Amino acid sequence: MIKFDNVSKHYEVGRDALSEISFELAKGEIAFVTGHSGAGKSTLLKLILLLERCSKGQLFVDGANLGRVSKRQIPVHRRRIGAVFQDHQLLFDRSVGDNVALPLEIAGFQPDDARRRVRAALDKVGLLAKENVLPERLSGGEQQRVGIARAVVNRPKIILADEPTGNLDPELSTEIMQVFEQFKSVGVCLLIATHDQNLIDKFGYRTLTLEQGKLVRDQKP
Amino acid sequence: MSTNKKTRPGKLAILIDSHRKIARSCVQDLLASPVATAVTTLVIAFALIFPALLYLLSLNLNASLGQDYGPARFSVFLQNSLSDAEAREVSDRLQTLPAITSMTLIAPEQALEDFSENAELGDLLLTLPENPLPYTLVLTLDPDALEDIEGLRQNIEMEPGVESVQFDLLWLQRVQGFASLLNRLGLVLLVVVIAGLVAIVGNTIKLAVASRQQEIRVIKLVGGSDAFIARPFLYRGALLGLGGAVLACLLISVLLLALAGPVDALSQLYGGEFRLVSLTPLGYLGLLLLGSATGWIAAFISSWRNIAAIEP
Repeated sequence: MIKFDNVSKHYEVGRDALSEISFELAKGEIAFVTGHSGAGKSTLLKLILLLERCSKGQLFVDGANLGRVSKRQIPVHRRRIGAVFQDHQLLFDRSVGDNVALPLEIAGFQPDDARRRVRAALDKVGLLAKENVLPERLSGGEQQRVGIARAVVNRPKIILADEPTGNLDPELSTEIMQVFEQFKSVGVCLLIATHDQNLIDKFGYRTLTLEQGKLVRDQKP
Repeated sequence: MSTNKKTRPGKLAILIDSHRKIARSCVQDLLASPVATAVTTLVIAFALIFPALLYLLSLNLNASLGQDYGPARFSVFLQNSLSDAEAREVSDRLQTLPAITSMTLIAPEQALEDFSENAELGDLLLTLPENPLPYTLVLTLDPDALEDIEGLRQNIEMEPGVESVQFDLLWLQRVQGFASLLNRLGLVLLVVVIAGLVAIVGNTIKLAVASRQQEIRVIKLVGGSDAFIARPFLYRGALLGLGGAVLACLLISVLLLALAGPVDALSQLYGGEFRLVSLTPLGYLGLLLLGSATGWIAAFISSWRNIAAIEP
């Protein structure tokens, strides 16, 4: 589903953000990406979302060589991926429900259908009661869960999550991971960037460890 | 036929529904900042009014002239002393000039008759002991000869037997020329105004895009295309243009209404049947279309450039 083939990313100045990364994630597989901040976790996710382009090497997502995806095709590529961002990236002038509905609106869903899916997604993250609330009235953890609901609402084949449990207490983190596991069981491929060692230990999935842009350990269960 | 089964709307219905939603939220947005919206609408309205008024002015000038007066003509008055044969001789000589397409010779008796029929002065003429009117030639000129009309006039005047030459309806043709100049000026102004409108609306759209930068970034992150993002801005541009055009139509009809009375009074003073020509319904519709299309195009150009520049 996701295949890194000797991928490097370097910016104009400084050292390589990522260097010669190679790994492959299958359908229905969950993997953690871990490492200190600045180790390249976010860059890795950005490459998959085409927020950045690889400097070297090749990256395949769902069979498509991302080097060959033109600028015009980027939106279509992103619609296949559900992404959870560290800083939530919510629209603060729209209700929680409308935020979660955004990917469906873009995809041209029928409003009734969309509403049903939105409610199902909000139910999964335990925020059904907050459907009509504006995001700024929510706590950081709740906003995080809105972002997760938005990432899963369109039933993507791939889910990327950047510190999805960063603002959540251990109990909620576990609940969120259980939501992710439901998606794994229907064949979704998940890549989760986290430095929450407890979470990694608890769930024991494959773990990719980055250090200064290099993949230093690929620990499979 | 089952009525329980809910009919699913087609793709088109979904699209229309989403457009309706966007249009509604766009109107709300515009009303949320009433001062800025009002100023922009006023500017657009005034910009649209000027070419429309010039067009109306040329329309009315033409209408007041009543008709097209046809090709230019000279009236050539021959010397009073000429006999019938001599007059015909002059006529034959002038006939050879290339600038003249046709010619009529009017005898003094005929002229007197015409005169007495047409003008009150005619009765006075009839009381005179002898006919004071000379032989007259009416020459129809080739339009190409108009360029050196003064030279031609002098040439004919120097012919033996010719007393004087008068260029009929010259002033009318000048007014007609002026009207078509106004018309042309209106067109040029229209082009200038459209360019100005594109700049004005484009700038407001640019500001609107800038104020929604964060929102656009988020939509791009979750896979919204530039076209999807541009939709509300296109509505905004078209609505601003339409609003300006509606205001322009209102102002023009108020102006025409205000002018109709005095113009009628003036026309009656001159015994004319002239009535103020106003914009036809089609003209109003055209103005509305022009306004909204210009707004849409301006928004398209501006949002296309400014949205593409935002990177998530």
